Amino acid sequence: MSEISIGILGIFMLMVIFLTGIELGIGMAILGFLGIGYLGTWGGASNQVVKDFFETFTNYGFTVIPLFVLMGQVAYHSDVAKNLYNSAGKFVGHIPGGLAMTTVVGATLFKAMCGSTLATCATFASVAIPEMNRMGYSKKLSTGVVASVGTLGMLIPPSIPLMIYGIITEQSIGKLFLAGIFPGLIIALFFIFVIIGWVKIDPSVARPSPRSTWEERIKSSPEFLWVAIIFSLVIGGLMAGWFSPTEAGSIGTAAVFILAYAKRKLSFKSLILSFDESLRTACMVILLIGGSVVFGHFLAVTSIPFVAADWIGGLPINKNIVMIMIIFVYLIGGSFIDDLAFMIMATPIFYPVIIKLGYDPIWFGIMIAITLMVGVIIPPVAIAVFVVKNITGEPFKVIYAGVVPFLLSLIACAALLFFFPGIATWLPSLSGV
Amino acid sequence: MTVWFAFVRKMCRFLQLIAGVTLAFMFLFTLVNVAVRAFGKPILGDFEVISFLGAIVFGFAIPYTSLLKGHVIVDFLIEKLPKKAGGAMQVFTRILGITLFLWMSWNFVVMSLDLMKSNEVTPVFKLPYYPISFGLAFACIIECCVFVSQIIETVRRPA
Repeated sequence: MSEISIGILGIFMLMVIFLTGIELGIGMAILGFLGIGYLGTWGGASNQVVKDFFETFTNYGFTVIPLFVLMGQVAYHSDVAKNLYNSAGKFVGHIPGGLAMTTVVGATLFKAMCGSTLATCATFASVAIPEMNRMGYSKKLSTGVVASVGTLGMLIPPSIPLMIYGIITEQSIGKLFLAGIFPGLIIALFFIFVIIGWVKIDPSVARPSPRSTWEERIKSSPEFLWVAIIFSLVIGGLMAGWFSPTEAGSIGTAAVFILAYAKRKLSFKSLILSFDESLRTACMVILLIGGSVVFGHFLAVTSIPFVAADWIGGLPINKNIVMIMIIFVYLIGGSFIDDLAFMIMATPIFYPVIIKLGYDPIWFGIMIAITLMVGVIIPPVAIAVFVVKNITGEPFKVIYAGVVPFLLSLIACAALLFFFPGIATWLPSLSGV
Repeated sequence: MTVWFAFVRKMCRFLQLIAGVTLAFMFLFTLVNVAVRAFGKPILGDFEVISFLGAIVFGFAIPYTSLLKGHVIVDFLIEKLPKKAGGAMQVFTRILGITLFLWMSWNFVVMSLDLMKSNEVTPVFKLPYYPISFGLAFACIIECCVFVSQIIETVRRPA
């Protein structure tokens, strides 16, 4: 058997072993080891696997993950989201559909501190949905908007998927963060347009809340100011070269700590919980990365990524069609495995193809992030929908029906970005990082 | 059996505690580094210290994450299987996990002995690498214990 055939067999076996319910990182490491051993020597394969895990664990770049997750967890456990939701409600709550818009605005701002989709969905499902229910909002709208806004963290910095993409592809995390800002804001805006359109078509889905006075609005505005300060400090400092991404994570965590402490919103118990959650998330990600590094080395031995890049690059079809096909592969793969896991696994294979086709790697990272956003709200593994379902107890049918209009706006944004890549690449091009 | 489960849980919590304290230290260390650098006195070799701390954070948190089934798996097929077949599949994957981690643990020990012999240290702080690889070897053993516990749980589960 040729090396390529063994590589293809390895990928097929990987899909099979995943179906057994094994941890994906472990499955990738085992098959990577078997592949490297079969093509080389078993002793060499042993050394390679241990070396790969050791180097992954001691890689400075990956230390960014627990620190940014910690920042998000501290924000999550200290009522920041609730305060942001209440403040945003004072400004737009009185508009028809205003509480749904408040959810979008609140979640967008919260995302500037917390990159976790699940944490955002869980928080806003507990904070926003009861409020919308109280005001007689349609369940489709309330649950749909909450499941959808959770996805914004994939794009709005500090986005964990963008950090991981940056490390895997050796792209600047700062540039990726900047590239995510405009598309993230555009999607948030699209979500608001969806709500406006939905309420125009059927005004019964959302009734306006009482209008707040300007005094109330001004009193609540410091909540936005805190987010603006923390976001500017973390992203600004990173872009200005004051600190590395890992240090930016620490600075952000310290800033959120100070905010939570000043507001007396962080108990010792929630602090321990924040650390615990950060460790578990970071560990879940690092095992995936470790396994994918081993499996990636096996694929590199088979030359599959390079052969695939040459073959796809030489196909007599438009490169945009190739790109659409790649995005579909991510979407389908992510729907059956786990979106982030699939990204970690597939990016080393497709990245050389993207470069060969002449696409901007930063832009590709953003396209992948939007694909992940779609992936977490479509079946079968619609993790954001699962969280909303668990908290609200609403039937899947209702939540999925509510998600559809927002899903369409995500696809519209992906199309916009596809035809106008500058939306993502313009801001990083100014940074000079 | 209760003693075994309690032992595994305690070991996992212990390693998680070390990982948590290390994460807190890493957080403070980076903050101090940013602060002193602002005054023109950066900590030289900060990268190597943080890399070391990262290895402890990641490596020592693995068993507890496994204990709470926090790693990503594809479960839609095994959920559809009859209980017995699902259990058999669970035992099979745990055995694969034990094999991998036992073997990795052994290789980490071999690596540590090599690193000790060659006296390999980091360039600035001259920190030896071998304690990290020994630590990872230990974490791998505890990970195996977690998998053994999961096998026992699966086998004892009423059909």
